[in-house]
Amino acid sequence: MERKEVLTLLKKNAMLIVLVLVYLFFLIITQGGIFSPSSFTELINQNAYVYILGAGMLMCMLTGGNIDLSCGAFVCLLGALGGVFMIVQGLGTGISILLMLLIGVAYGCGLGYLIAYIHIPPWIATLAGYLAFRGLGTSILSANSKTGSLAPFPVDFQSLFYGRVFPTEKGVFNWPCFLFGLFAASAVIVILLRVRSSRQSKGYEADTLAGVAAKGGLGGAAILLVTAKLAMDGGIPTTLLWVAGIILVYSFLTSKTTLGRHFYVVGGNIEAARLSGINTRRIMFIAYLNMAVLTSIATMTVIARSQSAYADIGKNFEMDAISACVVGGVSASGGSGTVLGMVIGATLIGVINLGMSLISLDANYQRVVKGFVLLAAVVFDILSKKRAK
Amino acid sequence: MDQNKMRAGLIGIAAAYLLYLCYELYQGRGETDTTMTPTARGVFIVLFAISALALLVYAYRVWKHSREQDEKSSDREDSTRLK
Amino acid sequence: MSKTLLEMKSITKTFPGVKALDNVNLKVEEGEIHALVGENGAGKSTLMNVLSGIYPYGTYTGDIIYDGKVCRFSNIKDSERLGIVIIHQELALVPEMSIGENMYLGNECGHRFSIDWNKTYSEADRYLKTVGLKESSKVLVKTIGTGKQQLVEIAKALAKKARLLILDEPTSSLNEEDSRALLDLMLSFKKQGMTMIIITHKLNEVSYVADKITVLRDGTTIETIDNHGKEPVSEERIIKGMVGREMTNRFPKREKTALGEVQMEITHWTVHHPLYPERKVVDDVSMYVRKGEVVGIYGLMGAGRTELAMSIFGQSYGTHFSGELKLNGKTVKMRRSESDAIRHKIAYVTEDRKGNGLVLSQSIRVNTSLANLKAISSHTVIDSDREYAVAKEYREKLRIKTPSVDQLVGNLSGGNQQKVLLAKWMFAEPQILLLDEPTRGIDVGAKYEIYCIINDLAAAGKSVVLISSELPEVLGMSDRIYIMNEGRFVDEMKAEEATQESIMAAILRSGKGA
Repeated sequence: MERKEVLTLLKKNAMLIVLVLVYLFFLIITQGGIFSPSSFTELINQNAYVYILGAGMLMCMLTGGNIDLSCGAFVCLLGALGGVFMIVQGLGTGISILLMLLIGVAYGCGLGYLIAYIHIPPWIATLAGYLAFRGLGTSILSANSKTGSLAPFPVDFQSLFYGRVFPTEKGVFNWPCFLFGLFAASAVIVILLRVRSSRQSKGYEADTLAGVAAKGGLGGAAILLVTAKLAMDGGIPTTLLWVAGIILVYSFLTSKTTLGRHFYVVGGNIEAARLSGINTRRIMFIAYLNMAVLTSIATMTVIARSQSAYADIGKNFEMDAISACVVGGVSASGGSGTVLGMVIGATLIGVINLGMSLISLDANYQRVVKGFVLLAAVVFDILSKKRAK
Repeated sequence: MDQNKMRAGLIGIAAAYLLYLCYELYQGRGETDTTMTPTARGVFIVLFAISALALLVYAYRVWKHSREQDEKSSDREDSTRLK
Repeated sequence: MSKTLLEMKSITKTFPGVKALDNVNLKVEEGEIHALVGENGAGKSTLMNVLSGIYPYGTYTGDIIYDGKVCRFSNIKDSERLGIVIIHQELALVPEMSIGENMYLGNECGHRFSIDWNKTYSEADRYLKTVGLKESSKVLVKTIGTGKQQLVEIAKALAKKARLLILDEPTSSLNEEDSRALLDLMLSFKKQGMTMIIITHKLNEVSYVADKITVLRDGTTIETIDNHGKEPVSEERIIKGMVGREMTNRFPKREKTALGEVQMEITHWTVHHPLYPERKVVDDVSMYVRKGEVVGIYGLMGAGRTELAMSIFGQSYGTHFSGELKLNGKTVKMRRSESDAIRHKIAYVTEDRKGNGLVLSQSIRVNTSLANLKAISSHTVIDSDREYAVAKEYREKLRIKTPSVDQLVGNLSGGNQQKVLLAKWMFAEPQILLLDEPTRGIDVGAKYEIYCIINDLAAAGKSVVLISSELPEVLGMSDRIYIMNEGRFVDEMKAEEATQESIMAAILRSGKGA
């Protein structure tokens, strides 16, 4: 390929390349530790909330750089309430989940209404939540428990949001898992080929066969690798199903639906959107309602994993979600950004977090690394804006 | 809810988080089981603090610039954009 | 015999993929006003950027000979030091600062670390008087109107001891009165020996002030026309050079088909200002449009025409509405909803295409389907293929010059952007189109194409309301003309009976407190 083509290819996939490089870096530092099957499981389980919250944050940021500062604190509050429902009150798992979702919806509607129809700037509205919810959650916890945390959550709840699908012993090759991986990998390749042929028959620009081979080959290989590793660690983690499902849904939403299109247009030029007949207030409302619902789902995965609700749950979640989006190329002024970008950003952050804990990096240095990553993301955003000018 | 103002806000939040990290680093200065030397700690705190301030200045300028753009467009004729 | 002050010889400048200037020659004599005309993309601004040093020596080939010496500018300061000052289209003033501060920004009086404010303000006042401004230089820029701000820009240039003043579209955001004042100012400067280059689309201005006219097309010098003759050069003559073909008619012929019944009518329409509800922005306006008719609304800036159109379009502007809107004879209750208006087959094509018309960061394809996503989707799922086909169809129909409909709209020229905006609204399949200044800031060739589109829309039975501040355009395109001033309709004329004078007279009459 020509030199110029290589350069543009590099630029387009810059973040993916960074991800691979960082992964290789940690591969060396952890002496292969990060490549073990249990690491893959840990990456998914530990990082699930970033993917889920990231999807919600992406939708908010698309509308014009709006964010939700309250999601972390809300996880604490909702987790505490969940603990009260399931552990203290002994309500059934199904009812508790329903109640938690309802509370999430209620919060989302309230927040959405304040932001979209009363025109309170999002960062102020969600800042209030950030300051208030954790305190609220902590007091609920201390009112209901001597230790300040509630545990354990019922088994059926945990198996819904944590654990494995078709579990096997670790070290025994989990065939359902691997077959699932084969299916997914071949699905990717088939879809790429079909899109290409349909585009060609209609006379549009389509990828070259080499391009499809590259994308399909790399993507398929990655999927097979991950599922193979997971297969050696007991099978598909339940959280992966939630995360994958959400990612697929939101990918479809943002790229193929009119609603998704509305989000991009509102972020691109809200006045033009309004004058084109888009109900801009409704879009803002939906963005925050959606965020609250996703936050509720993330809460369930988090408390299932830690098997308890405690006061520090959710710390830094909002920053992780925002960082995942910014690193993943979601523009801080709205109107551009993709689910795939967010996923790459979230995975990058997850790899860094996991790598740091694998080498037992001192907590202080972990903070330093977090700071540098954030700085790098912001600088990258500023520079890419400058170049666009 | 102007886009560039949002961007300024986001950068401001990043700066605030950096300051928060500074605070956490500072709080941990008495720890005995840490691998970070006091000098290194000080270096990082200063580095982050300066970066945070630089970002705040930048965010302020972005915000001010978008304010000027607003004024300019409403100067031309009575702006028909609903605020 | 006046001497040549500036000669640009064989200037060639290439950007990646495109040759913006190809052996361009320009000769400007001392004390003359030289006009630089050409379509958008002809290279006028590029040439001036080369001259002023924005594109430094080394990024172009050819020579700049100023005052007999070859010049190699590496930045703007180099050219300014020799007295070459360029005033750009976009005002470069800081609204929050005073006039004096603005004028000496980057050019401060006094030492590096202590600015001599007394000297700054007194010098500034002196220059302000030269350009005819009575304001004190201590006044904040944001408190004076755009017309006066433009004069401040000129004063700023004078403070830099300009010998060769370059004005890039100086009247683009001014009304008729202020434009005329600025042109007269240029003539008075000329008497004092200042040399000027003016870039403009407005050919009547060219005829008025220019001594010589250089026409650029596609990056090359086509010709230089002398305007010293007894008769000022005709606009047709200039257009011919710019466009390369005879444009016998600036406006395409309208086939006078029989007009249909009244499609839209408003009676006693009143709209109040959104922030100051006591102010009436639109005051008791009544009008109607028939099928197949083009109705022009002419008025000066601030007359309320945009506000009128936006208030009809789903009450997207204003508060406290009163009056009646009838569509096809039936009274329609309008809510505060743009999508309602679109459903009623009304389209509003904004005058501010970049500000609230197009999403510059998105592609042509996305912008085209924006107002009618329903037509290219089934159950909220977008059919990309249909969207692609629609975008291509309108690209053909409107002759939008772009290789791909995935091109970002922000990268298109003004004329093409306006076409995308029109495409969007045409795709929404309206019956009534409110066009607000549809040819503002567009070159002659593209203007003609848009006029043809308007005629086609009318021929298809649509009702077109054409808001414009260009008298020839209003007269050339409309069947009937409403004249608006200070929120009220002051007159209605049949286009064939109206003249520029009678329209202006109607406005003047109403202004005198009639």
